[in-house]
Amino acid sequence: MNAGRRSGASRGLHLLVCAAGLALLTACAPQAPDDSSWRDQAHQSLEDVGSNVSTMSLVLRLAQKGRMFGKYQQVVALNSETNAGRTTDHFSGEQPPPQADSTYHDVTTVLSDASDLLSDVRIALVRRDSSQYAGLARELAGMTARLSKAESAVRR
Amino acid sequence: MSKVFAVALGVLTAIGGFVDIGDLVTNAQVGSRFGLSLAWATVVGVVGICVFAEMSGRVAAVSGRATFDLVRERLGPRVGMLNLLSSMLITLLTYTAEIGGVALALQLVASVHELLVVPVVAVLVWLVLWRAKFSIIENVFGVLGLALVVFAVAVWKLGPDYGALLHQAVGAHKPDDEHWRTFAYYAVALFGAAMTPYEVFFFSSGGVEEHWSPEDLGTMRANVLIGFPLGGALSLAIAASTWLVLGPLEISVDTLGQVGLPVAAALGKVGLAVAILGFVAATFGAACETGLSVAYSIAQYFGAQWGKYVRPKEAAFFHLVLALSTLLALAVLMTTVDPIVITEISVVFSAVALPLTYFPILVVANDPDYMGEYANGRLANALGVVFLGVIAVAATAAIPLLIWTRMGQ
Repeated sequence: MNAGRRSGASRGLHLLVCAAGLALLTACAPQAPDDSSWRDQAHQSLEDVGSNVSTMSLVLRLAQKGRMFGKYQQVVALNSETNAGRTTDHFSGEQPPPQADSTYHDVTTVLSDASDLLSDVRIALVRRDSSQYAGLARELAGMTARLSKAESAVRR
Repeated sequence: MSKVFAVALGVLTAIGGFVDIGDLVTNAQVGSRFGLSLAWATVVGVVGICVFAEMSGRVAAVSGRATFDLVRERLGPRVGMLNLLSSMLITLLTYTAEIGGVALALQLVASVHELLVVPVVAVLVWLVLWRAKFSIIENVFGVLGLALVVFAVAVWKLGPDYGALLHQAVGAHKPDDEHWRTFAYYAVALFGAAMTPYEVFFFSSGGVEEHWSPEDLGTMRANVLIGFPLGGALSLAIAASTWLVLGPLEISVDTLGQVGLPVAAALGKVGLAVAILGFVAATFGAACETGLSVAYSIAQYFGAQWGKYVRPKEAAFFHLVLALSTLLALAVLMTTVDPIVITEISVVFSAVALPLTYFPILVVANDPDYMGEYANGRLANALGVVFLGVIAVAATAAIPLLIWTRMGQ
């Protein structure tokens, strides 16, 4: 009876150890969503980064017109850059389905370019380098168009 | 004259004190994505909070005792404990969000990392709760919170098509690019933000602090029935301003800084300065109210001496709870968790806890042993029952919608 209990307890312990081991192994592996949910995540990431690019465009426009405090525009710009970077890192860490390799490349490239551009805009805003504002505003408008195009491509 | 002044001050503080970090963030998020198509959810929430705040204020004025005190006595310690745990946990979460909200608001002017600001804010809130008089806490921050009227001014300055806004609000037209499930999720979030449990606990305990009697029922009702709806109008102004400025750019609101952008666009630096003042006052005032509500509810349940009207030495347990809850909120925020995420979670979970918060109030307000001739009439009971039904639907739908929409994505 005791031996039976011990063997049951031992089996339970083994199962627990195996489950913990499996959990550790799967935690190390990247997320591998199916094609549909991967496309959903790609779309959502593009939308999120697009929102941050639009926020930065608005901040730049308001800064050009002198309608914001330096500190305020600095904080909003930094938040947009951080959020976009976080979204890009998160999406890049997802395992794409095999048939979506080219889309993965296109999406991560545009997300990464958007993050780099947001960093450039933040640097100019913190330096109050108004000579760069007009050029950066044009680049941001171009980036918004690229992100929209990528969103449509992901949905196809 | 002093009566008129008391009514006016009460109404002004009710307006200014209505909006907290949950209202700021949720209304701005909803406004930028849905415009005024979810205005009905705010209106329903405001009517609901008016119904139950009036009941709990009446209970405080007639019995001279606060909600938890009576809930435990009337419904027994088990139901009382359930009521305490559900609403107190939400209030603690909201307290954490409000302290984080003050830090985010101050960060907008200081440009210092929020983790450096959070401990300073926590100490300041605790000092105010320990040293300042109740009337100062209630009135000063409530009146300064009126600075948020700048959002209504911004809407006016932006010169929108009011007919289109009204059509959107009345017709509840969901934008085509949004899902119904997200629409429903944000309806529940707005409802939860308008009906947060702490407002009722603070209101009724405040009534006891200020020694309300049946003669004060008129003033109390004016505060609730004028102040809260005007506070709700302020929430709608925030939603309208973000719809007008952020909506066309497809900006979704993730930070407090984005909430102020429509004001900067419409009114420039002066407007933005007023908006920041409003952010700080609204969140600081709400931090004080939620902190007090946590301590009120626990002290009242355990029958300990409580309140700001007694010296801290005489209400040691109450002040110990205040200090510990502030420390807990500080510890949570120092884990680098985003206060906006805490806010989003707190408004949705607030909807989950609503039935356990408001059902006991309806029971106590109906009890002639406590209320005598001031027990609920037919209208109050009909409204109370209808709103309990609405609350039950919102509470049931909240968590499934949270999971299904991945927090409103």
